[in-house]
Amino acid sequence: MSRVGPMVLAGLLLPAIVSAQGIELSGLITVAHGDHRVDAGLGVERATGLLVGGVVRLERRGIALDLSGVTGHLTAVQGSGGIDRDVSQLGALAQFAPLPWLVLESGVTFRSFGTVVARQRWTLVRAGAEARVPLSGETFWALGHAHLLPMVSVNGLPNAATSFDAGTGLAYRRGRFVFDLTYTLERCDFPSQGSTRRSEQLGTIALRGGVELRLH
Amino acid sequence: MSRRAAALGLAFLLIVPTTTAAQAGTAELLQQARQLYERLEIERALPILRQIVSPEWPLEVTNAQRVEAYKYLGAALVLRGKQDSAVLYFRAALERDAFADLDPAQFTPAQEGTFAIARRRTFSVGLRPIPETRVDPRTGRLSVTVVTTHAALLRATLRVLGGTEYVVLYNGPNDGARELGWNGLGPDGQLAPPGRYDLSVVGRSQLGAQADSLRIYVDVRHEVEPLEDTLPMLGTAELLPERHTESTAGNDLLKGLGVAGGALAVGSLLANDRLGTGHDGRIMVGVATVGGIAAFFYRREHREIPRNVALNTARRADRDGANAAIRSRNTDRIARTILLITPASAPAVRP
Repeated sequence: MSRVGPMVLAGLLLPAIVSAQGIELSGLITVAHGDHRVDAGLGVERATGLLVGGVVRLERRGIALDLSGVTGHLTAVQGSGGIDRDVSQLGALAQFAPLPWLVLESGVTFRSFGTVVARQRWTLVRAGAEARVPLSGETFWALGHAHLLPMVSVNGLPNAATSFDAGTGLAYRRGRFVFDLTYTLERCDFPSQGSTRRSEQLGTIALRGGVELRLH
Repeated sequence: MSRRAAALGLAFLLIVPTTTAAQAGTAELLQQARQLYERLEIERALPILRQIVSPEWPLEVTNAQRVEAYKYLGAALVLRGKQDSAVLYFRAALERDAFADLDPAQFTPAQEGTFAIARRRTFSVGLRPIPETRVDPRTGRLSVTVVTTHAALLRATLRVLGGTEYVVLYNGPNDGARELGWNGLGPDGQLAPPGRYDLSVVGRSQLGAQADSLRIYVDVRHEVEPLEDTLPMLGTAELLPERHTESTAGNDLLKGLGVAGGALAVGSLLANDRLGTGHDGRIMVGVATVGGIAAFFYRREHREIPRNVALNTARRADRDGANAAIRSRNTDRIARTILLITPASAPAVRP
């Protein structure tokens, strides 16, 4: 609950923030397909399913803040030895565009995997960049992003040794409407414990769509 | 010593009056004649006045002085009972200055009656000198005073020197002095352009077959606030490209394939070998490939850049709007033009 506190606070501050002049406010709905894979030394456990959520985005003078949330149920793939799990995730991502085609990003994500036997909480801090180049005029855009995750904290596990995410995508923007399709692979390798080395990987292909409002 | 001094004194007394008379000048002599006339010393005034109007008078005589001398000659002769001669002198005065008149406070009714006879027998038109004048055509006008010595048909016109179109300032009967006005507009109703103008006055007597005319030249200049220059045409450096280059379609295809290649690389190179990846990456590869190919064909058919076209149109509209405002301000300034009118010739030139 304490991890959710900053997100709630940000939500409460949102009306005050947007009342400032010249702020662009975007609201996006996210529908994603997730593929979660875990190898804890007992073979690969795999679960897939649909994730649904949304993003609120505030932007002013090249600086943006994304507040996102997503939730869903991942069903264990038969034969992989895993169990079903519920996923909930809240994230905040600050963005700064030093160049028209480059966005530097940094943020934190709070994620929860819940199963019938336990609940695992993740805290992921990420920093990286996203490149956006026009694919066809200024309507379609090609995207590519990569982040390092210098801190991945999971309850019951040591901090991850190597973590990153990367992906590509396409974006469509027409007037106030924004749509994008992105593929992201997030990989976390944990330190070896004895002869076992735990690895987790979450692949998503997400379709987001929404509308952008300009507030004066 | 005393004899020599006496000789010098005598010479001085003989020479000085002659020198003084020669240096007296026309104005002084005319003043002297007027004073003699006013003291009714007519016999002494007449030779002086005749001397002034004589062609042999060596000093310069202005037209006004000559007219004055003729008037006093005529008036003096009326007092001596020589009316016919008086009329001749009064006519001479009127021929030289149609504005010439006798002041009732200074001259007798008999003199005025004789002057009136001279007026009827003489026909001439006159035009007062035009001083340097500033005329705001919206509110003011140039005043011109003309005169005929007796009843006449008068026509006053103004035209650009060498031009054929003219403005009629007056065309009708007249007797005596009349003030005419010019509003600063040309024959076309527009503000008179700068240049030299010819103001002509033609009169035809209604008492006889006599006619007279006068002409004066004036220069007209415009006094107008400095005008603003309009903005120049927008150059290529100030406009955005409105069409994509031919290579853009190929580049778009490469970008789409780049996104597909990136998704392929993420799914194969960055994924954990033990965990593998699902179909998500391959979906992205397929979508990006199709997107790149679609962008390629779309861009080949649609080279224009609507956003740049709109921005350029807006810039051109801004420029046109600014130029319209400049033209409007310039029009206002031109509408506030002041005419500077200066005489360019002697008061009146008889053609």
